[in-house]
Amino acid sequence: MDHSWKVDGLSAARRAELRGWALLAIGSLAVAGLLALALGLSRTPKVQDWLPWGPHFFYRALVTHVVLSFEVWFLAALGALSAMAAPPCPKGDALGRVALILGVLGVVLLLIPALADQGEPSLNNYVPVVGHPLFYIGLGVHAAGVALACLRLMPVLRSPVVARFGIACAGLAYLAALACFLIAWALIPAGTDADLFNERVFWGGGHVLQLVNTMILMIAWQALAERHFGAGPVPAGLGRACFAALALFAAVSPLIYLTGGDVLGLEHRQVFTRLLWVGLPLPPLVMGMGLAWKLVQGPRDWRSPAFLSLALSLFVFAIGGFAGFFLGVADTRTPSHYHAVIGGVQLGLMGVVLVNLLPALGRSIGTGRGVRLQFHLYGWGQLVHALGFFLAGAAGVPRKTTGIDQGLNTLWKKVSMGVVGMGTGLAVLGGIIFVWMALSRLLKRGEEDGNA
Amino acid sequence: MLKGFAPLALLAATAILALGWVMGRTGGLDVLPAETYKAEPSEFHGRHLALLAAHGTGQSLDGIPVVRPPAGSDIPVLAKRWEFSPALELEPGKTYRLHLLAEDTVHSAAIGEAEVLLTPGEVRVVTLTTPASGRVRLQCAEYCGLSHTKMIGSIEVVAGK
Repeated sequence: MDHSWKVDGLSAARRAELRGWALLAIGSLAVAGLLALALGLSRTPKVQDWLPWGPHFFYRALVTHVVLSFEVWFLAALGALSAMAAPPCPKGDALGRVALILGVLGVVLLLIPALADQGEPSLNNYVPVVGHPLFYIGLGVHAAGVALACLRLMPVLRSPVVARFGIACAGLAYLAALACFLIAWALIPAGTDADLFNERVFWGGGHVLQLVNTMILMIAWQALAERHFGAGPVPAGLGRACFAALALFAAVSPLIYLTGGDVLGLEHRQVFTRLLWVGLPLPPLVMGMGLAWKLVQGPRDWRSPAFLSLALSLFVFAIGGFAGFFLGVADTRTPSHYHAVIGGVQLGLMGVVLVNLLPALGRSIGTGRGVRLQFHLYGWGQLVHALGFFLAGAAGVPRKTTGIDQGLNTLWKKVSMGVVGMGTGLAVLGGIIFVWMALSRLLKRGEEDGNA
Repeated sequence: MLKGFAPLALLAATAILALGWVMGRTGGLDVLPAETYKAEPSEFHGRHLALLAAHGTGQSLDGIPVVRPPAGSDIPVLAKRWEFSPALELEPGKTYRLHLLAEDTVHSAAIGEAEVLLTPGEVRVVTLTTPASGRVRLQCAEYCGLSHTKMIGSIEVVAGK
């Protein structure tokens, strides 16, 4: 029986929605890139004196950059996947339109405080925030939009098609993450210190979102392997079990608010950390081993974007996952781990956008040099970046610090952070090519009918 | 045969792990054993100042006064954004009792590989036995503001002088 995913034949309404989610996702990456540029300028001697913003702009821009490039990019991508996988029906299309409007409106709202230089920034884990009502409202409105899009996916949980089933599982896990955010919000006492509130309200759900991100990568592996090899990384039944296993952990995670002690307590924090040790590794390991076997068997076409995305995302994600077992407490080995695993997810998603999403909208990407270059630059760049961070962290460089606070007092530390900078440069170049290539094709009008 | 068995085995393993996780049976909790008592900040400040007066070395580390208390003593340590005070010089292989109090908001003290949460108004007492040489890690591991990652205390093991 054929369990492969076919996304051709989407209705006009669904293609319009898909294009909207894709524009939101990749547009957010573009804005995040511009903010990264502003971050660099605000730390450049002399130049910073001429900029019209205050000393907290660096942190506000950093928060907004992270939220756009990490939360909005992945969640809007989930919205796009939902538009491709949800059952075709007028009610689903209407829900999708409302979801997309909320998704876009939320991002516009949360951008305002950063650009207007308003609100106290907070670098709490997973969903850093700017302490301004518009930022929180924006986050909530965006999250609600993605939730509406995911609600359409619940009937797809019965689908035998592995990729569609995986997308539905990711939608379910996202709803579980949202439930965790809401429960934590309800449980945290009024008057709690703002930093502690931000850390704990996003702690549990933030961990569950890592299951969602992992599922997005596995969806990419499934869809791209079907396209390149004609079959998924593992047999269909095992593929569905991999997605179901992650969804099961996500679905039970709100129960931790009943069994895991005080939401502001230490036990609660450590229990959710444990989720990433016991709940996350097995399914991507199983599917990743199947993919590795397929890559070894071939055909290995290094000109194919699907093959490049599969090979590089697996390699970078596996290195990052392995590094996760050797973390320090607050040094740069932590960003080494998450930049590599998130880089792996990013590489997979780049492949899905170029190989599945754009062709579903009738927009071709080809196999030119630029297509290949973006995967190599981004993939190897992320790897070099992560390696530098790991070496620097092992030598004691603290995370989330800049300038003199990094304490770069040995040659080893300086060289390691130099390697980080080199990797960043390569990855940024790859990211720019991807954003340019995808946006330029998405912004062309009149191709939703699939005739381009 | 294997095709049908593998998904079931994966789901069964997941169900067992998920149940264990929800019931708190998968380990991995690194909580320092600590006694707790209530304290008024002003009274604790008084003890802190008395320690500085009695055992201060006259030196400071990034503006934090350094003390060298006697082995076996009780040491009041204040945690606030974004410092632990005082900086400690302790003798090798000796046992001390650290009385930790958060002054402004919730912090934590990660000492070695385990951690204790510090809530304002509640003193946590942790027993520390120093190694033969080197430093003991003391760091806040609960996000407490923009400079949280720089909230690192100093416990240095120094042979008796």
